[in-house]
Amino acid sequence: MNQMDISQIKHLLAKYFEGNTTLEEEKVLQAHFTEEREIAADLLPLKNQFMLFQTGRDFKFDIVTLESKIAGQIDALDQQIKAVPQRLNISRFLIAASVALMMGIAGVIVYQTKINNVKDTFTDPQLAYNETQKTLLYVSQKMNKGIEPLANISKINTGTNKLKTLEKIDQSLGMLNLVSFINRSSNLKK
Amino acid sequence: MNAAEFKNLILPMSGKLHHFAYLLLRETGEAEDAVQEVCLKLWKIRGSLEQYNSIEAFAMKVTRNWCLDRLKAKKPVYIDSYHAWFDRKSEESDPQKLLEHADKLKLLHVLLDKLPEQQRLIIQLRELEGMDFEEIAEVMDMNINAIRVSLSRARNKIREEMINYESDGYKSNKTPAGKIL
Repeated sequence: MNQMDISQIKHLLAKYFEGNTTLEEEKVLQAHFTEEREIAADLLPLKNQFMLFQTGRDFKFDIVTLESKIAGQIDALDQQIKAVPQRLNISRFLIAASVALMMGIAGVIVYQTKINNVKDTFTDPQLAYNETQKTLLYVSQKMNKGIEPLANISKINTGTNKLKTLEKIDQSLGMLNLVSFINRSSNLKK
Repeated sequence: MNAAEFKNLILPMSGKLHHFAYLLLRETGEAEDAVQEVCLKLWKIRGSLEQYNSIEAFAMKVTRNWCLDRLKAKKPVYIDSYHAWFDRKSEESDPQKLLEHADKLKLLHVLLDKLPEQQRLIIQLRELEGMDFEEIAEVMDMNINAIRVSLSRARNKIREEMINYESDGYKSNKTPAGKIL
């Protein structure tokens, strides 16, 4: 280790024992005394002091059970807190629900009164009559347009007429029943 | 702050709080009680914790006050379960290494015990917990200059003790720790 570093360490040590070192400077000293293999002979007595603090830093109590105890207590307290406002929440919910219901009813009433109060748009009755006639005419035109394609429904009937020939087939099938008589009489012969 | 956030904040510092409480109360069970009580106190005021610059320093301060009240209320029981605990642990792995380690820890605590309480706590906060002066000032209710002075005295005192310990031939079998414990 070179002279420069040693003088720096000594300078830091002086500050250290005056209580004037920063945490970073103290880390430099800790590292020097606990990790450096070659320590100047006159600084050697201080090595144990730093090693001792290092041992103290390394030591940890076993606090796993303590931690779980604390966590358990906090959770228990937290549950208590949550349990109390739940009742409050229900009443709050009821208040909110009734307010919403009242507003809904009020809304319906307002809406209906608006519908009932349809205002006149024409002052001259003749003009209003003309306008109404025009509107109704328009509606009936549109309706006729919709009915037109229904005229083709009669074509379905012409189609079913052709199916009447099927009845003739049925008649001739009835004739074939006579064949069964022949069959019966041949059985009698036996 | 909900329970999960609070636990995330407090549980990581419970080790520090415990060690700090131990230094004052000298008994691990008492120290555990202290940490639990402090955590419950902090939980009650969780809404206002964020106003503190360092919640950890504040927690340490609360711990210190709680322990000092406790000490006033009754004389502490000097059963040193710290070392008993360590001895029990030391059976578990490399005995030689742990023995050395245990001796050093005992020595550290013997040396710390020779300091006045204030210096002992400041050494703990600075050397072992690595807190900055602002935080230590918060914990100890002192100004920073007074802490520097106290820390300087404590470090020098330990240096003297260490040199005595080396030259007095404590080394041969009888550690001061061995004498006292």
